[in-house]
Amino acid sequence: MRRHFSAIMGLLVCLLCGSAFAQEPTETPESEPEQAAVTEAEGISANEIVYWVIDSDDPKAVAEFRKGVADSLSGESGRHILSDEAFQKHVTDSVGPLPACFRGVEACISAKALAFDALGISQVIRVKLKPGEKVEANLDLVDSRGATVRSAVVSGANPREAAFAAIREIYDATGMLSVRTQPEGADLQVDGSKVGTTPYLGRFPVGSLKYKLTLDQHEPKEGSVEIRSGRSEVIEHEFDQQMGVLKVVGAPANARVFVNGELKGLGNERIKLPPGNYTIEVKAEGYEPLSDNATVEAGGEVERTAPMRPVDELFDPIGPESIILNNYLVRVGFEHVFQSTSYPNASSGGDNAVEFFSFPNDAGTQPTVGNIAKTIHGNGVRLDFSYAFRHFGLVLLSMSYHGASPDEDIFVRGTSGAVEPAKLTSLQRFQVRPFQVFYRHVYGNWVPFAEVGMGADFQWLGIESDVLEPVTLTQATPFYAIAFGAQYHFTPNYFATARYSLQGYFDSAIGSDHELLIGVGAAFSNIFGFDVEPPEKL
Amino acid sequence: MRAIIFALIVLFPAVGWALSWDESMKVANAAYNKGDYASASKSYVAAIQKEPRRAEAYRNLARSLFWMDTYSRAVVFYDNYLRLADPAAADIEQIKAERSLAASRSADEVWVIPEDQRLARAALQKELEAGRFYAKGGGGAWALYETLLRTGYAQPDLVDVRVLLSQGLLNQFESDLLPAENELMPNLDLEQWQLQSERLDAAREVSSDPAVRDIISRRAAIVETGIALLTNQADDAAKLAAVARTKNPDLKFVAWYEIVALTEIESYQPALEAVNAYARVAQDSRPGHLPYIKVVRAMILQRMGRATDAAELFQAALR
Repeated sequence: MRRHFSAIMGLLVCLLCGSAFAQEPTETPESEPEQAAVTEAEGISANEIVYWVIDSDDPKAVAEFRKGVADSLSGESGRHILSDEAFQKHVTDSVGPLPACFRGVEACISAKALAFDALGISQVIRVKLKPGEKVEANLDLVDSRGATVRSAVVSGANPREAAFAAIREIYDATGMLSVRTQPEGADLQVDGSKVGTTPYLGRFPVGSLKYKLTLDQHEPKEGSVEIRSGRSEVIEHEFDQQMGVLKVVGAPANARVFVNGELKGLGNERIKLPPGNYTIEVKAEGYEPLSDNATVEAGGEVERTAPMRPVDELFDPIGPESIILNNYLVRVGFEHVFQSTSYPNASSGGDNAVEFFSFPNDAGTQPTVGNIAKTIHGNGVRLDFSYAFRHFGLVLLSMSYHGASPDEDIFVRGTSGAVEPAKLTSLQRFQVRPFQVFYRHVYGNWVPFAEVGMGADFQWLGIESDVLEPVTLTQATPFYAIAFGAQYHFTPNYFATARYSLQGYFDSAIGSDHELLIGVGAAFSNIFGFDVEPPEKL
Repeated sequence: MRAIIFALIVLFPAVGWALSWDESMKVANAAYNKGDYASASKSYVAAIQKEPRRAEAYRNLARSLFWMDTYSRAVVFYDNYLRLADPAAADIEQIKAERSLAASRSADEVWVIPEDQRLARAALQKELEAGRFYAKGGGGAWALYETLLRTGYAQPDLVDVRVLLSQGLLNQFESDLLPAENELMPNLDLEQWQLQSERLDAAREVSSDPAVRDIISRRAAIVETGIALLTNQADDAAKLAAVARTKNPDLKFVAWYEIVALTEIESYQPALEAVNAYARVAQDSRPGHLPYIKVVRAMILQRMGRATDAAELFQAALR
């Protein structure tokens, strides 16, 4: 009869609690395969270990209560540790790795909970037997947090019946909670206390529990679950990865932020990114792009300062002072000159000199009176060397050379004194200007200037005719000059320049030159070493 | 993988700033003498960044800048030299003359700190004042300090920045290292240990205070122990922990690392002795740790095969 009662109770308990417990010593009833199938379907582990601490002054009552518990749990496949000997054997058999919290990778839960974990025990049931007319058993259920989650008092006519009553009381009023997450390893808090990490299986008293799952770098999950008597509640959760924030500060307002090559936002914006390592590039018009690397942590905010430099272009603004301090200037340029002129003093020299007489008149014949002017074009080079104060300056040396092949009909007075037709086949001019003064003003990179001065013009005219040997006539004439121009500085030391010069000759018959120049120049300071400078060698 | 990470961490200080002040000056002077003033300037800047209080690098940088025709900037560095140099130095008059020439050539131009340096310096100051010294992923004041150096910032106030930074880094390190009142040890995973290691390296880099460098050296032993423990190098961890415990008598929790490492390498008797020693310390200073000590003692006894003793301790813990 007792055997039947035990079997019925065992079946009842298992059906109600849905868990898989084994008694100790283990017995395998015939109905086990069917029970196992039920418990597997409900997702309950068969490895739950419950440790019974039975306390009484009466060792016999303890033994009977223990036997009653064992019998009432027949058919279970889990483990209930009911004796000191069994506990000791369990200690021997359950050597596992040291808890992770001993390495400091997580906070240690209570020492009691560590003991639970070390031995794989999910619940301790403390029983205090009080003998009397009826045997009374005070029950305390301690969960794996080490917390007493339930207390109850049951009674029976004897310790064995008290044991059955205890089993009914306990397993009708608790249920299992199974929590699985993807990824695993999340911390599980139940009602504000950490109970373990996923995958997790634990027993809790019936009722509503608030749980919270937290996993580093992932969005936490909170919720509640209702623990039902004898049932297993399963929570499955797939974590979403937590986003981080990247912020690029200190960049111009229009700066665009590229993350791994993709435009993600503008400077000073909070850019949400999944955790990871990124290559950041910041681009802004007129600035050199900057690149940097950043590691964005889940939930973290990474700030990068982008001290962008303006693009180093040829046309970058230059401070006027850095232009002004370069006192010595050298300019060289190509010059085109055109001159409406005659050559009244051109002569081959000597006693029987050949002299220029005139250009032909409009009819192409020899004029009878005065010189007739012609416009002659020439090209050449010009070199200037100047010293500049802040605004005024001196041209210390200026030279130019021009050449032309006019192939113009002219009349010359030959060695016999007769006027003969001839050809002006070549013209070479050398001009030297020993004294020029100029005024300049610096506007950003531009330096407009005006210049006045005097110089001397030397000309060589190549003459050919049918009646004369080829001959060269020379002419030297002083002139005054007025010029306007400007320099554009690419750097304080180098510039391009353009100018227009008007050179008027003191001999009015020679007319005036118009000279157009484009060229380049360089500016330096202290090239003669007059100032105290740092040593060139240390 | 962990071994590689560990090796990188150990090697990291060796691949840090390569050149000392003397070496940078040597390179810079060689470039100066060849007339390569741009390269010389960079190396002088590196020397200043290394030791911002030494005057010579400012003087030579000013001279390089002079030859590069950046007179107003040269004036600033001549002034730095004149401020920092020994007033009795033989070249003071010469430098004053050079400065005067540079000033005249710079006319009324005044050098202003470049925008990138100004922004980086301001951002650094902000981080220093906010107490954000080093952050995961390279943020915080340390990253901005490195950014500032990359901009070529070379001013004497780098000394103040470095003092603040080294103190802040060390404080941040200590703050993360010291366990809470009821905790056995600081909660640090491998990444956090690496972060701690980087903080120490950064603090070492910017600190010239012998007292601070001594603390850094002592704490480095703890970091090495923590990393060895988490990279499954228990043998190393046991040896390192003994060193770390000796070097850091003020941090009692270091003993715990030794207990764990000895247990992991199955040196149970020394582990038990370490537990007993720690128990004596905890008795007075950390009574809250005693239950944990009982559990770890139980675990060691369990591994030693002393099941009865272990069971007794476990039972006491479970009850």
